[in-house]
Amino acid sequence: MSTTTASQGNFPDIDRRLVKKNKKQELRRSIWRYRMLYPLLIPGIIYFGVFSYAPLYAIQLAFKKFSIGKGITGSSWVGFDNFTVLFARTEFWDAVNNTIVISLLKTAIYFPIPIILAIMINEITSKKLARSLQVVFTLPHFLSWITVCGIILNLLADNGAINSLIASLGNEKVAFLSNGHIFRFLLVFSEIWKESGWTAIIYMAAIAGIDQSMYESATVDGANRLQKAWFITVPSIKSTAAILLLLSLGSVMNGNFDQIFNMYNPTVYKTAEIIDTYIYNITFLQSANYGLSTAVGLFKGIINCILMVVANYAVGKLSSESKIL
Amino acid sequence: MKVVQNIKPRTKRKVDPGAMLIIALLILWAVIIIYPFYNSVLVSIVPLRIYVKNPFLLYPPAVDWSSYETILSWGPMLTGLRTTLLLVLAGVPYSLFLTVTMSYVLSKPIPGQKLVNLYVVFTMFFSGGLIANFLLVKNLGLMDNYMSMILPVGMGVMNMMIMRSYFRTIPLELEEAARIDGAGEYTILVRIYLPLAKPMLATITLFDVVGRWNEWYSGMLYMRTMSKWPLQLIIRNTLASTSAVTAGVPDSVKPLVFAESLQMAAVIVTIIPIAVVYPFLQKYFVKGLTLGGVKG
Repeated sequence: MSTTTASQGNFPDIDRRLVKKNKKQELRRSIWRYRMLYPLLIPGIIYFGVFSYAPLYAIQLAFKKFSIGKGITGSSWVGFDNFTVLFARTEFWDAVNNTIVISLLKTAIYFPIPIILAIMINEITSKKLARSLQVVFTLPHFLSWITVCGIILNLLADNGAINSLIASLGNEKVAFLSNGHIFRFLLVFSEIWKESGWTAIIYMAAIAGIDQSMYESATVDGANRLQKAWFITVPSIKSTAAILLLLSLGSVMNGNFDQIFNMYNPTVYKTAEIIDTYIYNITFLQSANYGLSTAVGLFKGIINCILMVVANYAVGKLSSESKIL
Repeated sequence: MKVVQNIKPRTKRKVDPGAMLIIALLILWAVIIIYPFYNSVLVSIVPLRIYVKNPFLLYPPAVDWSSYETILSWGPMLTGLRTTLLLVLAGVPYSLFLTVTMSYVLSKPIPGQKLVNLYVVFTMFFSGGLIANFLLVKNLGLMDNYMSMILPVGMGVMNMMIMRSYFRTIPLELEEAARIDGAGEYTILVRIYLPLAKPMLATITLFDVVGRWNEWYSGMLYMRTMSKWPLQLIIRNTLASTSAVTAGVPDSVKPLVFAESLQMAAVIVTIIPIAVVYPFLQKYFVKGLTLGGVKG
């Protein structure tokens, strides 16, 4: 006599409808079991509904000519006119170009630095020294860009400390804040200055997880510090590095509004205006054309969405723990 | 029997050039980090006549506290502080409430979980943009209202997901045992999960507090009255122009304070609270990052 039971997945004689009914009952039982928890979801759902989803209604302005009197719904449709106007503007393409170039510059130059910092800090034997250095390196991360830009602008101004030093040494002053190309590098280095210490912490956590016995056997084999770092430490943190790199590339269209908005000035608009600052400019500083602003936002939003989905998908492939979707 | 004598113990420690180089480089980087702050402090305490002669200073030849006196008694600094404190005290519990309720429920194998997850995650990938959010706040009637700075910045999706993962690490046996004892869902959440999640909650709170303290953009967009501006916005305003600050300064003090000095004093005043508190809290920030951060 056959001893297979229904619980082993063999349903030779049982009606499919019965299976479905059981699943439905299970679902209902489950919902009943957690019935007290569902109300807890309501605040969060309302929050996202109001502040993340409701604004999406205004995206239609990208295809309209907004007049305050008529509101969003009443304003007239203009099809792709806003985009035609936009794509004809050099400032727009400058902004797109700047956004991409600056983001890529930052990613490329910034990338290895936290790794090097983490490896170096890891080599320090005195825990006290390591901790003190960590505090110093990570503090700028917690300050606002307003304060940091204030400090940097004062330091690098034409009549500021650094230029005075340069001039007193007999050299020509450096136009940190008015030379477009130098300014871009200022953006890159100030970001490194502010954030690399904090990013290094992430790598230090990854390094802490490395099996110490690998280092011990390397010592036995006669490896020196550099070799151990290159052949053991670096490969072990490869996936952490890859994840950070991917996330960084995924937000290439974002740029750092806080930093650039508070650091730039009209003389460097040509090389430093990014999409987000451009949107702010045409919304509040020039005569308001909400349709145009929304069009830029939509353009950026779509590209951003695609990039982020792709980046997160790639990250998910590397580590199922770190993925979001 | 031959006794080996005269074995000199190796008391000389090998000087490791590699370690020395590493420490030297790291200290150099520390100096690079610290120097701009040091420069700002000097600019803020040095009299105009010294600054004019040479802005590059390594030490203060003379000290003048007029800039700090002026800044610390300037009205908008105080209202700015008041507004920012309001943002922290009201905003952080608000964010925590949203984050905890959502992350707790989503940490359970509850029907509809996937749907809600998608609902939440999608907001990370696509946003309405500046105009959309601006018009929303306007249409909600929140212009020039403190709520416009508090409500929209509610829950960070990343924070919510970190919290959710953390809740999941708590063994279900505790919950089962409590249920057998007759505890209801909310009791379980408050009496069991929340106390166990304290480390993570503390970390999220810390990050939230820092975020709110540094908040300025929503203030710039929505607050029309200067007395309602957050502190960071006041600082930004001061960095753009010091005329508002010097307007109320008595003529006797006027020649003593100069724009750069006032600006740096304002900046330093904002940094000091964080700089003083941070070293003691650093390990909590780091722990939070490693608890919930990027894994590879």
